[in-house]
Amino acid sequence: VRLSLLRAPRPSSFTRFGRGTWLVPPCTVTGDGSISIGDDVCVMELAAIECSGRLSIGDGCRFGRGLHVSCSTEVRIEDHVSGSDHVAVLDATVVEAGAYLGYGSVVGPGVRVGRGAYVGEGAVVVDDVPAHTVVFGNPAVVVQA
Amino acid sequence: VNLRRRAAELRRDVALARATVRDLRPPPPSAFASFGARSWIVPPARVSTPSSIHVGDDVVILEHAWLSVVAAVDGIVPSLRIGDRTRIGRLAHIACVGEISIGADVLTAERVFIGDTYHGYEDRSLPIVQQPMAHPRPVRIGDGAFLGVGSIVLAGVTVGEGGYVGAGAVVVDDVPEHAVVVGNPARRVR
Repeated sequence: VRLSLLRAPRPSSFTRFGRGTWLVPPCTVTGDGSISIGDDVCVMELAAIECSGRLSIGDGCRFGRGLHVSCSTEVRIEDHVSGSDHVAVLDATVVEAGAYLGYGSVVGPGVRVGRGAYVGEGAVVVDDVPAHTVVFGNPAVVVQA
Repeated sequence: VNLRRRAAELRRDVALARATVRDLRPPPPSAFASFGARSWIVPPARVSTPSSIHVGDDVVILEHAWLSVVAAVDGIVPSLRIGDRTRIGRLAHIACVGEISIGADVLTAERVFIGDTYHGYEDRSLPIVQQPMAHPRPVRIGDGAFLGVGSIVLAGVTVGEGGYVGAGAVVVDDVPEHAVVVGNPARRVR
């Protein structure tokens, strides 16, 4: 992956860049890791993706502005995960299918967000989130199982 | 073949840049329900359904605002009102499917989120992104209130006149007039 400042990174920089996928500029992608992005993904402007490890983003993911992914080992974002603005996904994190990351939430490092979980606005997730639960707060706690 | 691919990528870059520039240009004042004198929405900004947005006089909304006003719930016409002399910092995100009113002389710092709804999550068979928005609850920000950097005001909250929301606060309960709240979840400290 080459340094790409303030423009859409070119699909050829990725190990996979799905059909109908958009990284809206300005967007920075840095590091020498491998990045795979599925089909029909949209990441809005001002994203910053640092990857010196392995990052995979599944099909149909939607993120708002200012997404930050920091990946020095492995980060996996599964299919149909969505997020609002200013979401940070840190190293060694797995976000399972269909989960939602609220505005300004921070996930990780080293956590697993279960299938269909709702991470509340502004939550700071430092422990695993069980599937289909709602977490809020800093540190995030389960408010609805 | 390599050259052809590079040409295709270049065309894609240009198309994307064009689309982005188009999306990030605020609509003209005439497109709004009302738009006061000497008010500015500084581009780039994303504004949807300006016909449901009332902007008072001498309002300043700084770069990268996202006024996301959407008729997403059946039978509800959304309405966003921003009062006179209110100043909204960069990267504000206002998600309105029902009713949000921001008073006069309100000041917000950067990266503020105000929302009257959230993504529904009740249906376990669907990804949350494909579920409908929750029924909105009105949000009101009183005259002269202040919202700190990165603060979040969630559905149903009323911030009273002169209320002070600290940086990074996540407000889930009403803030009384002239009260100071901080933290996540926000609690009253004064």
